[in-house]
Amino acid sequence: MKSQALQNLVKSIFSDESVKAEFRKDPKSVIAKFGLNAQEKKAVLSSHSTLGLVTGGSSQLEATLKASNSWMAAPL
Amino acid sequence: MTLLEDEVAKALKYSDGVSGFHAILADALSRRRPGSACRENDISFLPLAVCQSLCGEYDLALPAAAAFHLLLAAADVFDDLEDADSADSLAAKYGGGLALNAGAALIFMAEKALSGLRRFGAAEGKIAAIMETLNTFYIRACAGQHLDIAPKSNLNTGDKNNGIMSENEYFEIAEMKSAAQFESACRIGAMLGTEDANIIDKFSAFGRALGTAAQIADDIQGVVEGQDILNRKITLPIIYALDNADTMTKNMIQSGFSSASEENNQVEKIKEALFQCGAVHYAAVRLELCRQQAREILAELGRDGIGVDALNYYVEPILV
Repeated sequence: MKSQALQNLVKSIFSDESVKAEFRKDPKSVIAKFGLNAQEKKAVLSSHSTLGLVTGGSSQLEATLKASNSWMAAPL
Repeated sequence: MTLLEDEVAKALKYSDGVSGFHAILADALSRRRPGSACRENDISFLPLAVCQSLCGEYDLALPAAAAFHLLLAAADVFDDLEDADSADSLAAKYGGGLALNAGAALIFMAEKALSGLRRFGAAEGKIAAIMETLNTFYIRACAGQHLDIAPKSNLNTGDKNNGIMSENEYFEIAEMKSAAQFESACRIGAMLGTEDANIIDKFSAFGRALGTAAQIADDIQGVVEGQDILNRKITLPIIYALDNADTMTKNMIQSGFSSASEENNQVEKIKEALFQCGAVHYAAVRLELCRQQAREILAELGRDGIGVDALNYYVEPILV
């Protein structure tokens, strides 16, 4: 199911440099403003720590994603 | 892996003696892993892993694993026929008609493989229930595939959503198309390892979460490698971008995905835009949500006294 709160958070981070800067300094305080549920908060923080969700540039994220093995079979 | 290959070979022997028939089927199966009949970490191993977690044995799930391997090979054949974009496909090598026939044969061989459950002592009623489960989930997967590849409205319609699927529709299709396969593999493995309906349902839910994660991971890879952009495939990052990106980015994506646009350099521009607007990041978070869900279900099964450590192996390596 679509998560509007999560979309609003990501949209805000990637459209407003001040929000991005605040997220870099204190991700939990930014997340707290968007009404995410516990699972969503955990997923954002985990993705951020693993991928450098906002600190990593697109080329860095792309390199990280390319380096990982995707084992799953091709969907039908 | 050798035991699974042997089980697959039992089904394949029904093609012996017909000129070229065995060869094309063996070719289709070998593509799941070059040089080998089976691929490590394949979805076809899930019934084995689940069954073993429940009863300590995986042998009795071998015919089911073989059935999934055959079905996945069939899916690859049909996928290539639908996409018609690979010079290396079975259809490109043998012709569309022979490839289609081979795909159909692989499905019937999968059904035949399931009858091998008798050799491991499965009751006729259990075999029938497993066949029904498999067919139900795969019909669901075909329905999801139909929704996915059915013609969509042109992106330049001017409608608010431009006729493309919403995120909720995307997840509905992902659950039908991709998650159904993972869910059925886990459910059938559980049906072979236990009679506890509650445990079977939990493994079903685990498979569903895993399968949805795998679909999102596939979408992310499709952007990273550019293939989905080139093929104008509407995936989660695209849906997010069309909902949330700025007007310039939306216009670029709509233009790039229109039937009139043939510029390949648009692929790199769209890819960069998808990263810059957070679309790929959003998909990565959604992927992590699915993996969390799968982990939570495994933790719950662990509290039920089931040894699920080996199943974490399926959750963690999905993408990142």
